[in-house]
Amino acid sequence: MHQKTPAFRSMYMDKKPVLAIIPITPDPRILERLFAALNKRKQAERLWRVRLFAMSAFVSVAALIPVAISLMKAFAASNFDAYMSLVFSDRSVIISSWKEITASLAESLPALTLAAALVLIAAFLWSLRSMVRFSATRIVVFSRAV
Amino acid sequence: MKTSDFFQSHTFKIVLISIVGLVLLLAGFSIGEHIGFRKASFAFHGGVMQAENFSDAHGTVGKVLTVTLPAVTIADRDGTEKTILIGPQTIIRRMRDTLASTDIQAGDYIVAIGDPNAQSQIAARFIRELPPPSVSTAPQASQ
Repeated sequence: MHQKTPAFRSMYMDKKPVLAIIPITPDPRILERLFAALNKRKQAERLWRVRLFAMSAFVSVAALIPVAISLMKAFAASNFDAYMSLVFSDRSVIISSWKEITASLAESLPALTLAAALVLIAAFLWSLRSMVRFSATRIVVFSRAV
Repeated sequence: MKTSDFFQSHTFKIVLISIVGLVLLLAGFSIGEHIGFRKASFAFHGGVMQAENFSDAHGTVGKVLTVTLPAVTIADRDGTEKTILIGPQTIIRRMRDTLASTDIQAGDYIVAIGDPNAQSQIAARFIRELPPPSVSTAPQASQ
């Protein structure tokens, strides 16, 4: 018979083996200690996520700077501003030539650079949102009051 | 699973968003393909194939080099020379005034939009004379 299991003890009563179940009384503070350990783990995961999103926000801003400079140069070198000015200065005439002005605006738009800039802006905003969300949330797994 | 539950499920939303995204992607690709073909065709016929970028096919902004009506040669901002054709339907304006084709002179700074033809010329529908730009933004005419 195993002597290490405290819940079960073999006893001999009247020379007949009897299996007795002895109830276990756990530490009354074990529940609180369990809750504290779980909360601590959740907090550590939350902090790791905040740092990760902060780093991604920083990287996206750092990458956005040269892309934004390139985008401004591309817009300055293109004829987009001149074509767009026609839309505001000669609206009635432009309406009758809407196909030509639309094609001119589409051709002169620096699409690739603009798409890269928009992707980086979206990445920065998403990282910022996630960072604020995880830093503002205090995850409590369990509490005695619940 | 009930039908109403399916339409409100997360899977259905993902499928719907994926379809919409794919449609937008294909539409953008198709538009880009169409515009790229027009620009490449314009550059090919005009003999100004560049490695970096094709010039605009439906408009030009720059300084007037020569005026040989109905053709006007313009030095675009990207350095290419383009020819625009002024026809009876072409509207020419300076500030609030409407001009005649003979009012355009060499050295004027204009913006023109129109339709490209097979000879890589732009049949202008509208021309506006602009104030001369600053020195930093002045077009570099090809030599």
